[in-house]
Amino acid sequence: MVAGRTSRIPSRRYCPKVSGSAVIVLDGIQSALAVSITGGTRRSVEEPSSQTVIRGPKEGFTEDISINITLIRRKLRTPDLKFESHIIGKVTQTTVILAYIEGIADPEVVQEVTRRLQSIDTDSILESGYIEEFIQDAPLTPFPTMLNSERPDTVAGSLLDGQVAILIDGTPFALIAPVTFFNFFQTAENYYQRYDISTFLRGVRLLSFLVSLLLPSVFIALTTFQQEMIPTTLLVTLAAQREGAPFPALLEALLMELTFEVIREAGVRMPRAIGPAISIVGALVIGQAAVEAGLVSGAMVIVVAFTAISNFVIPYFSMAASIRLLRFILMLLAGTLGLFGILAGVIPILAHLVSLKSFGVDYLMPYSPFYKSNMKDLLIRVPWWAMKTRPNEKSGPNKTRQAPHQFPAGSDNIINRINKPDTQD
Amino acid sequence: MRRCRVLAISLIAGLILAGCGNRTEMNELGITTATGFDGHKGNWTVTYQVITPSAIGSGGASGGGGSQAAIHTFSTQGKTIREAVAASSLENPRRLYFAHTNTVFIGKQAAEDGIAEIIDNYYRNPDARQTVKVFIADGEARTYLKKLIPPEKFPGQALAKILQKNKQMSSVYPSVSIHELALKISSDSGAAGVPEISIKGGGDSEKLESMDIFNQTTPASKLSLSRLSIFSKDKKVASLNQKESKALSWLTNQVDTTTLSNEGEHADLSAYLIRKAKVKVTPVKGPQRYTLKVNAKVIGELVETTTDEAISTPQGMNRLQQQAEEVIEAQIREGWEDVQKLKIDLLGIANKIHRKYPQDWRQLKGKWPDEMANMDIDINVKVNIRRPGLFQNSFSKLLETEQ
Repeated sequence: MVAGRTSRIPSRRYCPKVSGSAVIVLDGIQSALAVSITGGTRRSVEEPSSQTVIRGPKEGFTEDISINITLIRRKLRTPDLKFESHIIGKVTQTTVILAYIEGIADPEVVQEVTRRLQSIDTDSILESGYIEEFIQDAPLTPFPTMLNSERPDTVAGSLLDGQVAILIDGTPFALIAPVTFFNFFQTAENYYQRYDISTFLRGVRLLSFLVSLLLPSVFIALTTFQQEMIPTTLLVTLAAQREGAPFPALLEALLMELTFEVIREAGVRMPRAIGPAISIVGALVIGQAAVEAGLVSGAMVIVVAFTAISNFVIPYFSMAASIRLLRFILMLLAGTLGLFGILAGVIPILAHLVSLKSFGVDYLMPYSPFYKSNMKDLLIRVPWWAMKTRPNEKSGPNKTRQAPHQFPAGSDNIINRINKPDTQD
Repeated sequence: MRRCRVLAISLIAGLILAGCGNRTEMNELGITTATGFDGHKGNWTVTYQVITPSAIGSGGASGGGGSQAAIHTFSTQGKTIREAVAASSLENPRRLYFAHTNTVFIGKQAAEDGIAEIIDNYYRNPDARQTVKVFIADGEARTYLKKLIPPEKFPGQALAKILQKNKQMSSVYPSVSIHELALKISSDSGAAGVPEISIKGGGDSEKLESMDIFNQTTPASKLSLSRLSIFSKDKKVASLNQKESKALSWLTNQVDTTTLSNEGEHADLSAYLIRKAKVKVTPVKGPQRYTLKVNAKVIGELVETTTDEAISTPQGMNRLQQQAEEVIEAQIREGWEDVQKLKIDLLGIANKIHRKYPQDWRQLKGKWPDEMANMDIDINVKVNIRRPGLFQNSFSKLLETEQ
């Protein structure tokens, strides 16, 4: 990196000596040249471990920011792609790079992100999470207002949508902002697979979101308060399972959910070699044995298991984590007030979501406020040829993505070409 | 911050004050699948058929029941119905839960003495549903609630299903809920028909009260829909048999699907499956008396026959249609004569006259039963046999031509 280009950065904060550069000082000239000769071993570009796809590029970011920049630059070969460098952290002196496409990103958002980044005053930035907590809009919300990704194609796609990305040296995770609630249900693969299956999978994901948030609490509410809403046969079957169950439904559900959280956490922490032991403990000991011993009812195990598996369907871990927490609050409410309790929990959550903003963009944007033109990439993902414009809420001046009327004519074209000479004859 | 604190305090207070107050675990519920009412004003006996959940399925810890009875029946007495229900807590550890009740049995004696109190109870209390199906027991309701209906596990549910299947497949008896019953007996005609249950077969019906009945292939006796109880206002006054009830079904446009058999001129038999029937009954004012115009449009198909007619020709088919029309017409006429004899307006003609001729109704109101007994009837049946089935001429005709 050339010192002359980073003249914006005060020299007392940026010291080429500790960043591994050779400095060439010439006699008689006031400025010096810093030449990057950083060495050392780095992890090579590998398949991302947390965000995998079946179809799509298999490369992921690494800990080296210069490699990460290259990975993005290779996908977006335009001079409008800008990387702005910041050094944050008095001790760590971490390079943080703000990436955006000039003309597509909203300049106000770029300005705002820059301002927030510059106002961070701390000793250390070791991971993207540090930056996220320093600059997010609502510091106390359980919902993530920035997206993190270790996929260069996701970042490139976001930049093309008019979002900005923040790359941090030393971590393979890049932050993307501004985001809306629905961004957390869109994956890179959505755009590589056919639109019909992508649309279906979006529906599955949103359904899983609801299941993951509400299923245990609805189950508690229905079985302990509103039994009249359960069909008779099902009620009798559930009642048969509850015969002799020692704990009230709420306690049973809380215990099972907590047990699952413990298993899950143990699974993450465990050395890989003894990992399979977790599944044995989870499936056999907790599931089957608990039911057979009569400690919990079978239906509750099914509910907890389905809730847990639904949680994994949500593509971004940060969103899935926020639902895990809210689920417990809703379960307590359902256990005390039944369906009214659930409503008393869901309405404030919805109100909170509506009020939430991410870098000036409303969190529930295309729905509230309503933008019809944005519906093409939410619940349904329209085919690529129909995606004429970028999403309204995030992009800046240049909203047009591609030329209109690109409906593939397919065989019609060929038939026309074959038929035309005949008609002329 | 202050707002947060207020919010948190009110939330926590709400949780503590609510305190799981009306929380009822499912194993504390006595899910009642049928209720029975016996007795009369001032002395009610209420019988409950409560599901024993542990007898069902592979219920976790408790293990499958198998030979355990799926229901448990008991009765309580009281001056009023609700007093009797409250008295159930003296002998029953669970909260009786009526939201999933399928059927209500009214004992013969109770039906004859009046059911107004029962209906009032159903409308007044939110836990008692007006959608339960009503049956009149031929005897005491409590003895009927004890009987099992193999192969179903819950007799209350089974009876509701029997009623539904009867409506779907033969339309002999109407399916009446408490609400429908209340509407009918409180209307101008003030009459309703309710299916009656009795014990079929001469065997020892007490055997039906034990799970052993599931081990027999042919129980010696069975519960079965047998008659139609006729209510005038809130009292049972008469019963109609199966044939009369069927005729009434035609007149009240309650025939969905049914099978009709008729005997032709040469003692040949045919059966028709009625797929759709629309019967329009309109009273028309005449110079001296009212005439009941009955217009029936029936669509069916031929399902069995020994006729000599050439079914493949339109003429042959027409003759079969005519025969079917005559059978239906005879059935309707028979039903109408029964109704006239009883002087009970089971068809709800009074409501129609009230709507159509509101002026005349005022005079008619007082002498309506006699007026109805004098009414003429004009029946017009149109049968359309859509399909002869997969076979053309009857097999018996085929045999004749071969000879």
